[in-house]
Amino acid sequence: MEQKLSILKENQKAKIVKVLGDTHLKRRLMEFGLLSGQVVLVLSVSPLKNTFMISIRGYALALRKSILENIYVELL
Amino acid sequence: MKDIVALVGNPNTGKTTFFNSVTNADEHVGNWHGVTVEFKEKKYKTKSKKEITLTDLPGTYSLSPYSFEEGVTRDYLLTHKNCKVINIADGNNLGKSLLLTLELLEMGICPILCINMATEIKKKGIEINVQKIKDWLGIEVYLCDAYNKKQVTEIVENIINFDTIYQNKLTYQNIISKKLDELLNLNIETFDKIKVLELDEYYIKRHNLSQKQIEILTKNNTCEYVLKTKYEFIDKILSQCVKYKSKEIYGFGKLDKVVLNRWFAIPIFVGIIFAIFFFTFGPVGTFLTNSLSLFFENIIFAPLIDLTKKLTTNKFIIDFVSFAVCGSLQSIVCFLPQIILMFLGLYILEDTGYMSRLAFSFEDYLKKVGLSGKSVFTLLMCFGCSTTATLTARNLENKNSKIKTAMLTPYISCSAKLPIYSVICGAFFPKHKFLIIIGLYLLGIMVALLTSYLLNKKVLKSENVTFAMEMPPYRFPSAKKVFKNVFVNIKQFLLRAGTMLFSFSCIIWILQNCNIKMQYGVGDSILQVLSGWLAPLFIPLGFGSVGVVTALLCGVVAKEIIVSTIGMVNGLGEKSGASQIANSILFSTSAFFLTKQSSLAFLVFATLYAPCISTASVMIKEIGFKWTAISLTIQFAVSYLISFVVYRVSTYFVCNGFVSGVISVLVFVAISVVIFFAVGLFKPKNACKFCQNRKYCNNK
Repeated sequence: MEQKLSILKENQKAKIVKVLGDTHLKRRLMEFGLLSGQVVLVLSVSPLKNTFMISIRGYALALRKSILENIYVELL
Repeated sequence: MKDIVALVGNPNTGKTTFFNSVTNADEHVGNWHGVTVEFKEKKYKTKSKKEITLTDLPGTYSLSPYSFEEGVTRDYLLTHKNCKVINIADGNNLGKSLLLTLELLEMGICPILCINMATEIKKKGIEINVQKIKDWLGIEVYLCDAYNKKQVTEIVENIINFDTIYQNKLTYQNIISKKLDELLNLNIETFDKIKVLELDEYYIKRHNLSQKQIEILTKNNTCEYVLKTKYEFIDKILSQCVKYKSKEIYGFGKLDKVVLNRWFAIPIFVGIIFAIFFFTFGPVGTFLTNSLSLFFENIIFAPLIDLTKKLTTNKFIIDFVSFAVCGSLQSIVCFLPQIILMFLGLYILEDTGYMSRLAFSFEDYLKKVGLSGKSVFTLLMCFGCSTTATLTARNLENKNSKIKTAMLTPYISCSAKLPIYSVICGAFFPKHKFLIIIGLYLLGIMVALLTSYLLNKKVLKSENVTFAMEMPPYRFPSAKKVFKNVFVNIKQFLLRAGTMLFSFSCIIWILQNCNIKMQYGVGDSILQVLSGWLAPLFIPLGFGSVGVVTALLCGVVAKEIIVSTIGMVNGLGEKSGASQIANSILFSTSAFFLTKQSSLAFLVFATLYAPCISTASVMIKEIGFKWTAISLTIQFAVSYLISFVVYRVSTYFVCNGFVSGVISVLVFVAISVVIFFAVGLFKPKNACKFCQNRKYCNNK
């Protein structure tokens, strides 16, 4: 089932299905390696749950929740 | 043309470390992202006596800029087509770094690839086959440690002495450009084709693409296609050239399970801050401050005063040297141990990589008021001393958040304001002393956060701060680096803020001790005359007497001297205690006299009205004269308003009942709204929300 990456909880793994957003943002996310088919793991969520730390292509990346809402994933 | 060697790479890969190693410069290096925000140049003489310019460019993820700093890097590369490029890559995260390398190659730049952190990755068991990467990319590749002076100078020597002949080995390039040919018929260079497919605004504008053409590209998801192809290429290189021992996630250590835990993050931070606080302002800091000032008094000041006494009998000169010169030097000296300890704490935290975690945990809270997570360090340090705390604001990555954070520091009650609170509350509210002091601390914090919120809404927007952050790994702090950073900061404090602080203090001393005709020690001093003029201004606040205004004006020099000034104007001796001073305020015959209501207004005003000279000096140096002036104006206006309301409300509630109280609250709200809109008048010109006014930006 397709869902937004922003609803994932800590330690959940998912596969990216598509990345949305304006061109600017989308390109930057893809440059970070957030491309469809890649697997992401939520490493940590900040105290107010507005910032997520995810692992992508073997490194840790912190992103705001509002940005993660542009990324659709399939739970693994 | 003079030879230029530019350093290009992802954020936090060690470009500045490399730069410093080659040129012996003192540029600030930190274990977090975006420490370098502008490019820096320095001359370097090679062994063959050739002079070259080494340029340290801000870190960038790609040549399609997302932020101001990244725009700087691309602009530089576009305007300096003939410069030589050293591409610094992080050996721990080579895949990510290679994306930029590929872009440089596509652009026709033939960089030397330096894979940094050789020792660190060796320890981790990552093996990189340099020769194979060379074969894949067709460029020179080195494995190095950026801090190793011998290694890096060798690389720089090599790049100057040899002209590398580049053979294009990027097999994917043709496939990608064919894709564009299928979709659109454009006769442009391959690099431009790739950038057009990536929908880069600059190149779309350059080749006059129509809206319809852009739509075709968007529909076909060309951007994803290009990046996927590039990452496939990178993965091929990685699978053949790099061997990993463990499957550890880079930048997320075992410690992070605890440090970044939702529940533990804040207690851990509070613990760390408490420890730094304890060291800086507690027994250790106090001991160092006392011994240092004792040392200066006996070894430097005493002989200096004696010398002046031998040279002249003029009382003005002797007093000027012994009080103004020595006094202000003394106050600068007093800051030194605190600054050293605070920066020591800051840089140890920074070098370990904790600052990025801090930013992660506090981003949510501070983003609401337009600050970044890293501001929390500066803001908390303000409880100790605003001057030193303001200095730490320079570590913020974004210019707007730096200005905002620095502007907030004076609102937060520093340790020097505590004696004022305790004397005045002791006099009027001995039973509720604690409650009122807590209230004043909270008031400062609230006003600071509110100011930041308003500034963020109207003037100093910083939406794009730390949009995405790579986590640096934990590293053991290097003593050499930490001490170097502390030393550089101390040097800058003494040279920049110190000189200003010194001259300001001398001027104020003259104002305090000379009359209008510039005669020393005769009649009313300029400061007293000035207070007499200003006093009517404070009648609406309930404390419009000359004595109170004198104390407030002296408080501009340093908040510490407000209490002693009260004692002085009330005719008490220099060594009178706090309780004597507190008693003297109660008598209406005193020069410094307050009532219960006006004492509250005074406390509020004293909490908020102005930074001390040292903080103002640091602010001028860090955020510029304009913003300091704006900040001072806002501060004065805000403190005047709030203390007016406090005075009126407390008076009305006591004398006139509830209705008048409500009316004055409404007046306050009305005035605040006016201020809110007035602030909106200074809007930044043409700032783009993505890149903050880069000249090629389409998003204006």
